[in-house]
Amino acid sequence: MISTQKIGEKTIGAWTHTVGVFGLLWIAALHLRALHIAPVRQVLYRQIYFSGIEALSKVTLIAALIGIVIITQVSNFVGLHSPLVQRMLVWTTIREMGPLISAIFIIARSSTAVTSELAAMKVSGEIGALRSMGIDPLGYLIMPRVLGVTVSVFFLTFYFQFAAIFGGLALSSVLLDTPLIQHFKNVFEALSFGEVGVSAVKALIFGLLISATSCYHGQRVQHSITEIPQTTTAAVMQSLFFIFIFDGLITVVSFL
Amino acid sequence: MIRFEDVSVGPFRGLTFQIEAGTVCKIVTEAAYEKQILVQVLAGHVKPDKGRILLFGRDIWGISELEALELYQRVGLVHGEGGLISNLKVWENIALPLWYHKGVPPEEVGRQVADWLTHLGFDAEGLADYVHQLPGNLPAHERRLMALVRAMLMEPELMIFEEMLKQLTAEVSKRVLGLTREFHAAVAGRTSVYVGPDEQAWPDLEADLVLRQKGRGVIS
Repeated sequence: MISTQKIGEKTIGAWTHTVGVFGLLWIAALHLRALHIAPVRQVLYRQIYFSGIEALSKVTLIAALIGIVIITQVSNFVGLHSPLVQRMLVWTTIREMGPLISAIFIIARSSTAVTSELAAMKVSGEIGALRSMGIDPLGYLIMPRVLGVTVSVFFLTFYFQFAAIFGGLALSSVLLDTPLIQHFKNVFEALSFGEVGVSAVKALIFGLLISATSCYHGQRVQHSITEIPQTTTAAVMQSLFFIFIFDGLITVVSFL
Repeated sequence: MIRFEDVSVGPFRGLTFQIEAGTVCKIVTEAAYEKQILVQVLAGHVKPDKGRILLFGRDIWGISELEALELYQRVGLVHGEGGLISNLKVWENIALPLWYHKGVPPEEVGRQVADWLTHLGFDAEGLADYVHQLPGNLPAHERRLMALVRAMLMEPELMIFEEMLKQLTAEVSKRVLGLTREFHAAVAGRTSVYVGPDEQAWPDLEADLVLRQKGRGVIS
């Protein structure tokens, strides 16, 4: 049986972590000036490479498959010739699937890597060693990771949307035996600036939350190597909670 | 240069001593644990329960983080395990502080690094391949030698060596001591502090000041 004390402790813990994540975001913003230092920019570029560029091939495959699934499912209900097929593809990928699946992909791939890497560096004394060389770990390790992961989530979201729409339309084009360009025309007609804007806001907020959560949990460990898997799991769970909560909030607000 | 005022931390109680600028000092602890605590306190990683630690006349826990980071740029700390950053290649590790603080790109320090490493007994031919490895591929004593080169590149006023000669061959130990002695003498007022638990492991080290741990937490 779950006691009241346990529930209280869990609530305080969740609140503490939430405050910690937003505090870390603030600290990272204060350290943006460190970007004028060449080795800090190197860390940023590497983070963008690992989180963004290296993920492109897998995102392409997943997005195209999702586009194909959406076209198949919707056309099964409304018929392949209905203009609703392309519209549904655009609405679902731009409004929901793009930001959400890109965020989940980054959580699975980069959030775990960032958290466990920072945690391992803390346990092995590397973060302390940086400080003893006069290098600020917040400016050198945390800020470029927060920025790099955020930039990666932002651009991967748009890339995902493009790849999903392209995959779905390619299937439509083959099944209907019509030129692909014709389907793209329908897509652009179904798109609005508002939808793209909401998608961009989601991508940006998801990126900030995932990166800050990963870094927060990574630097929270103390001395033991057994804390690394525990803190990595906590980072993944909290990132997932954050993106689902904020996805709901932004979606509701955007329709008000 | 270094001043401990009634410091209580870990096993130490009321630790009070002073190391003047320009001194070569040996601090001999009773065990590795005490040595580790002492180095962590000196590096500002561990805050003492009581007392003050002054580096260059500044209380390291009484100044802002920014001031502390500026202070530590004047210190070259060679960790026993090296303290190299695991996701950077060896040459990136060596060049990092100089690149970070003074904007000197890694390729510009290559010659100096190569000279020091060959002096320490590394094969000049294989050096290029060697420094392109990740630190995890190197044994602890080689990581420590890389950390030594990294620290010396910054030309610090204070060098702190944690078990510098551990696991080194007699020949390499001799070369390391020669290099650190030369480095110490190159600038007037430069201070060198060797910390370790086993004095017999560093018999050739001539020091101006020897501080020994005697019993629970007393160093004199």
